[in-house]
Amino acid sequence: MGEWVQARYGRAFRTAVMICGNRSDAEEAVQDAFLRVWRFRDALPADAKRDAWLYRVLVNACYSKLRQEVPRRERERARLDLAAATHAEPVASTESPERAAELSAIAQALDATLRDLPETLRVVVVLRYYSGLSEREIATAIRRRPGTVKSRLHEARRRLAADARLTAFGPDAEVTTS
Amino acid sequence: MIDESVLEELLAEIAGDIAIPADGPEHVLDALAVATKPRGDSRSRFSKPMLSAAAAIIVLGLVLVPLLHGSSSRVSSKSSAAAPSVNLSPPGTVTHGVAAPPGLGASNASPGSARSVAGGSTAYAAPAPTAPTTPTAPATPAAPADSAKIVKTGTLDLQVPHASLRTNVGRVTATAVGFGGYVAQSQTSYGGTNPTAQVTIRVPVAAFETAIAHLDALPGVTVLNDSENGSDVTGQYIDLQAQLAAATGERDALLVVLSHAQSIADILAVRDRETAAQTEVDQLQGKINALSDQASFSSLALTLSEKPVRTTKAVVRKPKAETGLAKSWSDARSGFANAVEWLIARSGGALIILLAALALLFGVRYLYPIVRRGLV
Repeated sequence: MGEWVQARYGRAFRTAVMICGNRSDAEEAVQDAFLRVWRFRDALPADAKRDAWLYRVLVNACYSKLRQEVPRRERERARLDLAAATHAEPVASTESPERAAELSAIAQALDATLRDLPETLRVVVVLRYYSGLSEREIATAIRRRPGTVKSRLHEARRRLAADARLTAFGPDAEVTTS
Repeated sequence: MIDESVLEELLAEIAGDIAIPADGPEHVLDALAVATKPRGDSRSRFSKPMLSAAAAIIVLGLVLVPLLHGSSSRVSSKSSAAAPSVNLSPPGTVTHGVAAPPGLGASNASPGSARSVAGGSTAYAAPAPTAPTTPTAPATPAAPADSAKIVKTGTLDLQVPHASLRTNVGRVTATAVGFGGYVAQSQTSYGGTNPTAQVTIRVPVAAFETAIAHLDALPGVTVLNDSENGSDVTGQYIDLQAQLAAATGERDALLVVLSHAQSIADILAVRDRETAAQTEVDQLQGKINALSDQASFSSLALTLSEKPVRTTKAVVRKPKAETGLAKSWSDARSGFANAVEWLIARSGGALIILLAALALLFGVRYLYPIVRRGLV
């Protein structure tokens, strides 16, 4: 169990941060998720689906955190703190400095755009394009049909592409395709 | 539309900027360790000696209590049989073997005192004398220890003189209060032909028998039925106390663990278990309190009813059969009434026929000429 936790903690934590929008909620959500997975370990499916189950629990924990009666002002402040902490240090990259700078700028814009997405869309984007879950696994995680996941992903990508903060980089930014 | 691979790359970029807490996995593993800690650890440390002691006490109690009860009842019955002169009162009256004033009969009203109801007179045998009546009889049974928990209950059906129910309910209440008890429940019905009252009083267990004797001795009261029941709950009480001690120990241990908890997960996990242990402590304490209350105050359910009053039967005089002119007049009245009833009963149908005839007449008189004019 220890190795399993060690191997998955990082990705789960970052997923939770991107869903919750602040570190403290994410940390608690991840702990809750791992505890819950351990509690129901006997009922867990096979290894292949265990990760999907973990993300299902994690998403639920994040939803719980998001719906708690936390004052909006505090949440906004936590987001600002997170953004400042996230982008304070330069990104270490093997690519050229120009490309790295451009990528970093686009990433910042995407981050801001992502935060403005509704949580139903943000969750599927994070689970699909960061956590690497398949559409079926996401459907399991959020308890919706795969078709719903597909349509949400489509809608999220459409909104991201239409956002002015990303389109400002232009077609050369290789963000969009025709 | 954003390209999926680019989106993945950008999200990886964003995620890469999110620093993972270095002690995050350790916190999770600590929380898991707390959660995996067997629940019985702290309990076993505290509960084993307690449970052993409790088991020993229960075994001793199970062996000794029947012996004590058996010997006391034997002595009481023997003493009452061997010394019938204890009942010095004249027949028909209720004598108290224990002439203690209200509230002072605790030492005399031992559970071993025997009671017999015969021929409408109730006699309470005194507790066994200090000297054995026979060589084979055992010595005076020791009074129950202070820790002994005896739950006594009883029922008493009393018949009171006519129109004295209210007075006697008041006397019952006064008796309960006089013995240091109280009225737990009272329901009285003064109306109707059979006024009754159901009163449940609770008196200190030591004054239980004395209170019953006092109630039986109320003036004009007849005992229709009575029953008493006593059960020793000492073992159950000790068992509950042992469980309480174990649960308290577990709760205290969890409080110590809680005070050393570092992470939120630790605190939450230990807090859950501490809450469960506290709930168990509260429940056990509640049971102990309830048992102590039952053992401290005996419950006596009384039913009071008034003596029925003898009533004379009302003589119903049969009317004399009519003859002659009176009979003819009566028949004529009856016939007239029957005819009127018949007319009224049929008038509904006749009214319908009358209305239909009127409608037909109206049609022939007014509508037919109009129709004919139209046709022409």
